[in-house]
Amino acid sequence: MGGSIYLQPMSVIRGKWYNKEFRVIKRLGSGGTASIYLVREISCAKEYALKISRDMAGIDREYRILGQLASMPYIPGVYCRDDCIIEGEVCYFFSMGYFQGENLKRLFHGKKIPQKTALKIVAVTGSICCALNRRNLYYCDIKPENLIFDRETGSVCIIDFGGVVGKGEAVTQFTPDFDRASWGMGERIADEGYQGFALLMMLLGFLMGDLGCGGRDFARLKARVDKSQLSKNLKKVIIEGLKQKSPGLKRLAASLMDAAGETADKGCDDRRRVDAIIDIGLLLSITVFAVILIMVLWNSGMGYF
Amino acid sequence: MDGQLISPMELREIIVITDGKSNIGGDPVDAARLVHKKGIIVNTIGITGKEEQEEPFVELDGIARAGGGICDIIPLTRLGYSIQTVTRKSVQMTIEKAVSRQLRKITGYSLDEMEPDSRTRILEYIQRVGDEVDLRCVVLLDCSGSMKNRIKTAVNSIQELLLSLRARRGRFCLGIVVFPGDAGRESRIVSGFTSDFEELALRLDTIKVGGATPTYAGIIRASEMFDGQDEAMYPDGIHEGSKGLRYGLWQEENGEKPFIL
Repeated sequence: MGGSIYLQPMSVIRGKWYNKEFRVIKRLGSGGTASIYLVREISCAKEYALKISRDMAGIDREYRILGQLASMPYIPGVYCRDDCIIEGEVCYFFSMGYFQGENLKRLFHGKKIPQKTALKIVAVTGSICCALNRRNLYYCDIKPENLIFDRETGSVCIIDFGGVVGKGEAVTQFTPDFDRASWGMGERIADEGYQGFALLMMLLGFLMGDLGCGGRDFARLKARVDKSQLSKNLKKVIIEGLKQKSPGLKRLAASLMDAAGETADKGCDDRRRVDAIIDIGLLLSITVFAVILIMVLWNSGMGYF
Repeated sequence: MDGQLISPMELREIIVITDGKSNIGGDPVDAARLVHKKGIIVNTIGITGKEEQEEPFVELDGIARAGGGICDIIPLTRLGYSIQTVTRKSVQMTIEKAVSRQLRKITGYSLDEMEPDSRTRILEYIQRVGDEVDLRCVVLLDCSGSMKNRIKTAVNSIQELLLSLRARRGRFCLGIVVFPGDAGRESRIVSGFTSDFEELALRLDTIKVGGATPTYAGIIRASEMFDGQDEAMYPDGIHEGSKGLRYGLWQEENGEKPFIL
């Protein structure tokens, strides 16, 4: 009812300002006030995902955000934005890169997935968010539906940037199961804690098959986590993260990896080695300095006598 | 455009939450039209059940059209999300309309008639104003017999709304009116304007269900809550301009289509 825009396969969308024409192939889905279609640009036969809505501001905003992220991997690139008329009403749309693959919700069907895979997906998603945060673009609607397993690159990609806001701003697009405020664990404001909460909820969903709490009762969820087969360390990281005691996304991802009994990545290993070398260097220089100091004192002492 | 022009204003909204058609008293669409003339926006949220007909929702659509607001028809499970989206979108839309009208006066073009690349900065500005503008909101909740099994979710979703409003930059306050009221009255003010979460939660506990659906009376009562608020909020009178904005700028032109979620 209302917001969705229904387009028949094979129908043509014609841009009002830039005259590009797109042929609708199929409907991919809808989110919020917008609908998404797989389309083919008629002049060049290239395939795009096309997001269309009657909400001018929403479409404009998302296009603007994606435009800022043009060079980043795991994020759809945007191409053309325009207006069109559908059933006598002005609609607004933009075309973006199409990831060939399923979203994770459809891919996993609410089944449990192996811990290693789950942790990896969450860590990758977390690191994409980290990269966005550095540009003050906080992606808050983190959930399996918004993650696509791209068959071409074999990686996880993020879609739907309508809900991206700046740090400390009100979160406008969320899903109650992954929303900190809905669980009574904090404000609905964009920060790393909010993202961490959503990531951990997603992780729990992956590990346990479902969140299994219609009422979103945190005590019940905690009891369920405590009873589960997860390692003690991992349980601790998850519960503390959900309670907003985790110091940041990066650290959260690292501690998740540690809890799973793995080192974060090879880069980190090298860093540890470097750290060790620096430590030895520091120890040596302190010793040398102390020896010199003693000698100087000794000499001055001699002079005094 | 100068930021000062619009930011110190206050928007006034009524959000009607109901699961049915008005069945007693005047036509609620008339009430919405009347209220909108006073510069108040009326939004509607309709809760669908399984065997409901289209009819009640035609009325809700009409109320939102006449009230310059948004109509959203949703199943009960989405109420919490809907109530905050409707509020946010209607604020956005109201400012969008006001700015678009001003633009048209100055440049001869409305936002629709501008090329996407040139309107993007104006939209960015509108969005910022939408987050910063002060908001005074009345939730008008249907407590007729049919809401019996839905009232708990509805109450929760009002608390949800408060959570979302708290995260905005602008000031806000929320009042609650239910219809019908107790002891045969058509409506009852459950809570006057407040931004205190605890207080509101306490007041929400007093809501009882039962009776007919006098939507007309409810809308009028909700709009009366705004009367006399100007003086209280702006003792120095420096915001007179914003009053002008509210009363003049977004009066509906005939035949203008409302934004529907």
